[in-house]
Amino acid sequence: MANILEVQDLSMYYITKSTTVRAVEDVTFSIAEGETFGLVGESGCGKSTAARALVRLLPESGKIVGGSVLYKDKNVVSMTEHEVRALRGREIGMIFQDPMTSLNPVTTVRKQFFESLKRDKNMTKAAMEERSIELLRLVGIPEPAARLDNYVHELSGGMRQRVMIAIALASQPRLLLADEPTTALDVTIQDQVICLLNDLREQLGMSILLVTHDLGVVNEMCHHVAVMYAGRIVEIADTRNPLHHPRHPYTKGLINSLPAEHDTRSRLEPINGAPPNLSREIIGCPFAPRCPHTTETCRTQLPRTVMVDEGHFVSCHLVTEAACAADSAQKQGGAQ
Amino acid sequence: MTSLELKLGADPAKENEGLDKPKKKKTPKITKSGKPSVWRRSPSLLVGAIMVVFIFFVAAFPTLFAENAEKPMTALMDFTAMLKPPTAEHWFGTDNYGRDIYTMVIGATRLDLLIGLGSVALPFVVGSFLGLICGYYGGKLDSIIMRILDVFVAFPFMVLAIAIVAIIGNGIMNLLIAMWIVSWPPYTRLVRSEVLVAKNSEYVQAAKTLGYSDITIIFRHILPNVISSSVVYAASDVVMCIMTAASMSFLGLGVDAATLEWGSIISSGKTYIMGGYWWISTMPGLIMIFVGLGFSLFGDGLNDLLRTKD
Amino acid sequence: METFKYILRRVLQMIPVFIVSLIVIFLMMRLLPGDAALATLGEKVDPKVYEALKENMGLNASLWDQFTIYASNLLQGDLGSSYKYKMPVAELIGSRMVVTLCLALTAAIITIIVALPLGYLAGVKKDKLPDVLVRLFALVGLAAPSFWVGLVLLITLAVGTGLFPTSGWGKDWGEHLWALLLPGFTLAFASIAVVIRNVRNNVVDVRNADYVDFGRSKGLSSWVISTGYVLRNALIPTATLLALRIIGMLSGSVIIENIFGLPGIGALLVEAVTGREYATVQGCVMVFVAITLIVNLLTDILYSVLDHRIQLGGDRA
Repeated sequence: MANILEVQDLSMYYITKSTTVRAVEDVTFSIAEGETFGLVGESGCGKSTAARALVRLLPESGKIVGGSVLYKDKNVVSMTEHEVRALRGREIGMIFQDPMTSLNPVTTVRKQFFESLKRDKNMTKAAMEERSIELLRLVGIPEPAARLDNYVHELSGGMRQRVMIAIALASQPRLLLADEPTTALDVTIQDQVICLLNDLREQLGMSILLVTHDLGVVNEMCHHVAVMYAGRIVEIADTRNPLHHPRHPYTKGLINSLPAEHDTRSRLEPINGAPPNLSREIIGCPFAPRCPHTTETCRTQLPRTVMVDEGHFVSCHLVTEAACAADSAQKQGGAQ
Repeated sequence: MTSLELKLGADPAKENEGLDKPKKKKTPKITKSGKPSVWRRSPSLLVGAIMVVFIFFVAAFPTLFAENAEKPMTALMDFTAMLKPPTAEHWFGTDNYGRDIYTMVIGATRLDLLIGLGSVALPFVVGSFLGLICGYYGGKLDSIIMRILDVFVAFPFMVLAIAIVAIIGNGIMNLLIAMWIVSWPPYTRLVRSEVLVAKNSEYVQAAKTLGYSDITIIFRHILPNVISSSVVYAASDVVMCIMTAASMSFLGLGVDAATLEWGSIISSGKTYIMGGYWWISTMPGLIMIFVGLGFSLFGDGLNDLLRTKD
Repeated sequence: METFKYILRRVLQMIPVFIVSLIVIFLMMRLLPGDAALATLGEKVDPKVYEALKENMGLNASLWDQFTIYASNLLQGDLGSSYKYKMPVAELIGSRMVVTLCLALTAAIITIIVALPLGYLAGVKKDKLPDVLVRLFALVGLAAPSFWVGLVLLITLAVGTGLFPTSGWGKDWGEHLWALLLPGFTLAFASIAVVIRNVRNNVVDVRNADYVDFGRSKGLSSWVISTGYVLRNALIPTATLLALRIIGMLSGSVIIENIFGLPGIGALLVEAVTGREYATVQGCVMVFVAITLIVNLLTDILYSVLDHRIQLGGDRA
């Protein structure tokens, strides 16, 4: 499978006069065509910022300070504003967390479809109307024609999320950035949206970058997953690996803090402490203050990222040491 | 997934070199409570407060700023220096009686400040109290007071104030009464709407469950939570009241002509404008702008502070 | 249908408020110290003429009788007549109204032309130099008394230079417009400050809204984002504020018309109060109250038309 998106060493800071928040630091990953890639972590770990940085949808203070984002081999970071705008919507669509606040409240659903569809100069009004209805039907909205005349506040929460997805799909993007698409919804509707996204991905053959803090959703949807902590990716792998054989203590902590499916009696183990303040310089491993296995090295040195298995990468001193030990043991064995 | 290689980047150990050594770090100044100080969070509050304090100082000790400020007006007359433009000697120039305008303006500060604060104090207390009662009890009392309020706000405030002064006559006390009558409705409305929200909040429900009396709930639990918008409004209302009072004096419907007041000084210069004596009417406006800026900044600062607390 | 019902209910609510206001005005005028007949004729007067005038003015009847006469005349559109101008008050007010309405309209247009772009600029450039300058300007605008601003404009642009008239409002529409510019700007001055602050804060809020991000993520041009998203949403509260400022301008017109010698109802009111012209004062105040009530109603309707989320008659909070 070819990669649709390759992110290399991406760093993005929020820079104001008084502070610099290192929201995303040296992030590297890639998304293959047709796959769903999960980006998980606690709130404030930089996962949403990272997703927005991919299409440079950042507030003025947000600056990409390093790295590259290659979309179909073109670097988004060095594009002009005009080029990025051409990319947004048509190539890379995006949906947001809160369907209540993410649609323009003062215009009708129709107008919000037409805004996107109008970019195709050849489209007639009738064709746009037809296409809008088709998109609404695609996301499973009953009586799609009637919904076009509605204002956002006249729709229910789940309906709004579907409408937002339909609008984001209007220009047939190849990659959909989904920023916590289920967080603000009721549990039953969450499932519907997950199924919908899965169906759409298969039907349209697009890729999805799913930003979420919900490991359950990741399990259901994603082919690959990256775990973010304090602006950095700490573990990245095939979905089965981090979730079932986590190597990084943070990933382990995340999984242990979830209720197990069939085991309701065992106690949940929360991760103690809070994520570090990203406006201060972090020395050593960012997870060190909360990690149960912290050593002196962890406090002073940033861990390297090492491959522990085919396509499974971890940034943790413990893992590195274990790998080195195994490595040297092997070498010694080879020498003898 | 061959492309999932992670580039290692620069050697992290190298990057962190020398970080073990103690290093002086710039950290924002933080007070004992662990939060940035009030002034830092709201610089306009600081500037506004300094200006307001300064104005109070001028009002309290006018002679420090103009040595003749507390003398009677007739004593300031100097017929050898009539209608002199601003000079080093007479900063704001002199009027048709040769009186130093700067001295007159400084001398009037106390009165104007008193009118401003006095106009706001009573409506603030009474209006907020009515708002509390209306919001908390609702029902008939609420509708009666709100209908009365409707009648009051049906008049543009200047029109009502003029009508009132026309009935009860000129003078400082009458001007204050007019200001009281026209300025209470906003306080009642502000507080009432906030009480309506607070009434259903959990802390009030909890207090009710615990069996506190209405009076305790209203004054101990609700009042501190709803008064902030009223306080912020009051700061800007002081400016508005000073201006309205000065406007009334300007029209000859405020303090009587013999009383020294910013509006009346400006008004007295009106007739000399056509003759090119521009300073009588314009210079006193500068101190009014200063006072207005001070209270506005102070109000803005209060707003920032009270609204951003979490 | 719902809208119609709501408007009808609001109008019905307005009627008692209006009637009570009329009673209040009436009582106020009767409580005025001084004697209207005396004020009309001057101090030295033949007692017979004085008595005749008093009778003619209806001042000898009881308060209740005076009120019923006033009310029944009012219902027939008769507001009484002015002794000073020797003409019916309704006619007098009618001719003066044009000036005040034109003044308010000029001020409103100036407010919009100046405040919207500046407020938008400040909001977009939040915390940058343009924002700081515009906010400073707005602060000064709030702090400067409008009658003082009027005098300064008069001194700098009218007296001596002769660019603008110092008094009066001319004979034809061209002269009217010219005469309205300075007073219009003076009246607009305070409103400009208030509206700038409002637009700026709304723009700052709306620019952070999720739907703006979603719009940008659709690849819309910055023009569409600024107009269809940011401005369209930011100006809803501003429109309401602007409508309400018209009431503030009515208050201001009383002073501004005095400074610039404009023959509007604000100036007429002050004249009538000092001249003890009961009928004229009553008429002027009545017009002011009527305009205030109508503007309040229109503001509510405007708000719901602009923002479909607001149900008429629903709770805004």
